Amino acid sequence: MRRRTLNRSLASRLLWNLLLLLLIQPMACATSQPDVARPHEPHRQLESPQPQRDEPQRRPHDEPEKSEPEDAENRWPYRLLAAPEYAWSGLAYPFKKLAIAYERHDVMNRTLDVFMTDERTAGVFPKFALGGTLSSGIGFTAFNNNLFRKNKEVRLSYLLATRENQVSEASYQDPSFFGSQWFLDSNVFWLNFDEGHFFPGGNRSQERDQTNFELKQLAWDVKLGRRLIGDVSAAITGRILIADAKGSDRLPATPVSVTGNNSSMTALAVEPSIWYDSRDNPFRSTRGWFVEGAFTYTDQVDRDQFRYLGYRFEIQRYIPVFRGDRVLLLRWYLAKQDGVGGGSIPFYELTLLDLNNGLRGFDRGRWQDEGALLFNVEWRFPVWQDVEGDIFVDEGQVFGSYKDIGLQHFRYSVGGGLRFVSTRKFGFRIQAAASEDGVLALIRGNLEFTRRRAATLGF
Amino acid sequence: MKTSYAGSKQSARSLRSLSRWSAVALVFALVGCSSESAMHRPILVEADDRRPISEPQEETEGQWALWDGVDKMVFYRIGQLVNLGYSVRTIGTWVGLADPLEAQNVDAFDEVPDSTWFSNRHPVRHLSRDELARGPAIGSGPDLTGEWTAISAKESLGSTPGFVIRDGRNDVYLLKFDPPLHPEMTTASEMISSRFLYAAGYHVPEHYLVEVDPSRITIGAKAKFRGRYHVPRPMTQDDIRAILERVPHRPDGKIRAMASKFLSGVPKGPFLYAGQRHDDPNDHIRHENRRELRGLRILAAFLNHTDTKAANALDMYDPKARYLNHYLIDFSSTLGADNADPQLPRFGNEYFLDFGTIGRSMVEAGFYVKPWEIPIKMEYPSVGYFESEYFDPERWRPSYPNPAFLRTTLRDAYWGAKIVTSFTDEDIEAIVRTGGFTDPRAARQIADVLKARRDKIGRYYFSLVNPLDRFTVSEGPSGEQALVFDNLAISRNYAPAKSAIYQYTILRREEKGVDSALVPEKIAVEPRIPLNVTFDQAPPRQARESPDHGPVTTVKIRTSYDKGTHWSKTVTVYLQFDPEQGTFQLRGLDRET
Repeated sequence: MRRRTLNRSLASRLLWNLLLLLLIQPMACATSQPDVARPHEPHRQLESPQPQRDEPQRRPHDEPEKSEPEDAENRWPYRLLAAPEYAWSGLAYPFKKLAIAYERHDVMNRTLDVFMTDERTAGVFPKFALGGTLSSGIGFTAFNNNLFRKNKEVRLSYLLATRENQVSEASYQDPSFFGSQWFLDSNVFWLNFDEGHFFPGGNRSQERDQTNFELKQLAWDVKLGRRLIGDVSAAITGRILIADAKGSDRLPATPVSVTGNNSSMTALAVEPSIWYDSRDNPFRSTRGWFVEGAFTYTDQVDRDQFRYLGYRFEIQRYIPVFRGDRVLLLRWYLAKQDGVGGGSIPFYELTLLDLNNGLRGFDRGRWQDEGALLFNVEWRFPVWQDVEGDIFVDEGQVFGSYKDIGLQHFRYSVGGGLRFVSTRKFGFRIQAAASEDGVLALIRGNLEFTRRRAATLGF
Repeated sequence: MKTSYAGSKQSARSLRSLSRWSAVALVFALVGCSSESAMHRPILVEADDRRPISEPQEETEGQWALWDGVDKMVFYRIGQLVNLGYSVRTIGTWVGLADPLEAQNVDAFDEVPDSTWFSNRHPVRHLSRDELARGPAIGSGPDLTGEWTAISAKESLGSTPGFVIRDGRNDVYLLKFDPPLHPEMTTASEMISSRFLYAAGYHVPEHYLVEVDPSRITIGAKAKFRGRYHVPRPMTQDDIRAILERVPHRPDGKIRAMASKFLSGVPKGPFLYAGQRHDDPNDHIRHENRRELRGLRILAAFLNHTDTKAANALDMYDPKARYLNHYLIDFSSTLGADNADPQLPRFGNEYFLDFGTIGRSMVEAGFYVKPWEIPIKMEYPSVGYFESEYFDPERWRPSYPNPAFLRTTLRDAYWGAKIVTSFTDEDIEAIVRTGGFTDPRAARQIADVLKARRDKIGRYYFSLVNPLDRFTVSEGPSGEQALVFDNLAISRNYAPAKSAIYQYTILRREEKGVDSALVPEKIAVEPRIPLNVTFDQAPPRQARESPDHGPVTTVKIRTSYDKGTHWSKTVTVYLQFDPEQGTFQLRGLDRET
């Protein structure tokens, strides 16, 4: 009984559909037969022996010879079926008004002028952090890329994050120090945050081994260098490092037994370095080599606890593929530290594998020890006019001594992302990398591997 | 009992599914109609769109290039997707259940009647070389004897430097200049492209090449300049100086410029390439369904007119005759020029924001190399970047989607290709000479590229559509009639062979029911089909078959260039027989695509 009723109801629905079909289909497809006048002879496709230059004369409107047919899409069935499009247009309406107002009032330039000078060489713009190392925060960057109109660059950034974490960086770059061939880079980095992560155990540590510490740090680097010959340059860097570390309120806190925890340090460091740089553009390289070697000697001045020597080597090779707009990047990096004269190394100064986003896909500070070995392979390709895509494989390990290095100890991550480049001075990348610890997204305000303390925090 | 219930459920399911399918079929049937036969289209020489109307409002939406671009790249495309009539019909076309929605303003011969949008010119009545070179110009350009008063800066946001002047005759001209690194490039593009489009049939402003003497220019008392943040302010001598400093000067201090005469009438803003003007009762065809706008895609591809945005169109209201005329304006992004720069290699090959190529580049991780990524060497700065090597008529696209171009069907494209291929080598050279190139090699390169692009267009579209055209009924000395036509692929040298054969059948058309064969399948070796049919044995079957409505004969023709191994699509020609005169007259034609 129920089946018959159901069948009847569905059959009736079907019948109605078909009836509707019969009713609507001819209406939708029908074309009113226009008055068919006697054909023109010959048809105007034939070439006229006497070409006319004049535009056609207007026909008196009360004597319409023939009129164009109406547009089929203006018939009501089409209009009915276009209802979702009308609704969509309604939704788009506010965007339309905004876009028109944006263009009419030149909002882009008005906005830029709020933050930058007319020449766009100096200004202040807001800075935001969402998630990431510093959690959420707000701050600013002030810059001048042509200080004294002599190509000297100065930049000051500050960010106040949640839990009263603060980070600030000031830098000054003079490509021609007092008009000489020497360049001067000076960078002051100040950090006050309680979300430092330390994973005791070096390369054997597990994700669950994470401990938390507070760090107050001031590092002032002054680097004076010059080009020696061709693409070879050398520099010497002097550094003052003031740091104070202790276990965080966030549990588990970094144990007191970890070297350097619950203590402060004021140290001086000196770092001679030499490098060969044949890259076409350090901001966004597409070809060339970057090879660097550096030694660092750090000595605590307020006590006799920390004294260590570090050295690092790095090779980057940018291989242009096709017309240079596809780039294969190969990178190798080795760093090692050793205590000297009975001194030790504070845990927060141990070599980080991801100091410059080397091993993506892991938390900051995930791999830290006296030595680090890293390989990166990155493939960059154009996607859109100012957007590149990239795919990368990172592998690396940290170690206490060279004999600990082993193939089986390498940690891997693979990922990809997009790199946005608008001008020489502005670019950022969004990447996601998968590793044994899961998938991690990165947003970085630079395009290349950058070795800056602030970069460690994504700042 | 259990079995019966399960059976009931199954049956209900199948009925529900049937019901759903019938609903889908309903939608298909609703929108998936076949295209309209020529017999249902009127024979029109001129559209009736010059009726007096009240003065319309100025259209403002299309003036804003940012919104127009965002809309056409994103919002409009999504809108089309959710328009069930359009999207279901498109799917129906893909699966072969429906024909695409053809242009709605074509006549029985699939041609565009003359209108306020378009006037059939060169392809119909071959213009002389002088006429081609003159283009829309009816005067001699700005008055060179008196002062020129600058009255405003260029209104558009385009990057070509320029301003508006009033000459001694009180005529107003927009002056446009060349960029310093590419002298002659932009002004030549304006001159050449405007003439091609005019000859094709579009309404364009008068363009003149002039030598500007900067000392002749004075500033009008009410002259305005687009100031900071686009806020108008009084124009100063510094503004003129700043514009003229950025343009190349001749050794005698004069500056080459293109003077575009202001159109007569009241400007009413751009016409949009989608929808209609609701305040214009003469506008009863949706713009995206107008053949001349859909077919413009082929002309634009030929000229590399990448900037076919709404802002480069203009409606002018004639206050005396009281109707709107529709114009194409601004051709500074055509040929090798993109306003003040040369075209980029990707222009014409992909949209500014081309989801297709972006998606493919991402998915293929850079291993997809777009053909146009390897730029052709730019030989002459005055030409800019203009090439025919990578040019693909089907792939060609403007900077961002144009709604009319998105709807271009093969029939529209064939119409456009007919126009493009109607320009002979000599026609092209005559028009290119109006670019006034100092270096004849630059002019030769432009002409050569245009010829090569024209040939690619002809070869491509004439292979997809049976290009039989210019049908006439001829009568022999003894009164025998024949259907004579031109095979454009043969006559314009785009056919794969020098000759063709034609397979035809002649049928008597029935309004209702099956057409009856009058002449079974036959082969003609010439583009001439004898109409050896009589209707004596077939008396009028319908009351309509009066002398005015005699029987209609259908001639179906296919073409082969390889002696019958492969056959083209069919062209169906309708002929009406006049029983009193005993003659056939052309009634219309349909092209299979």
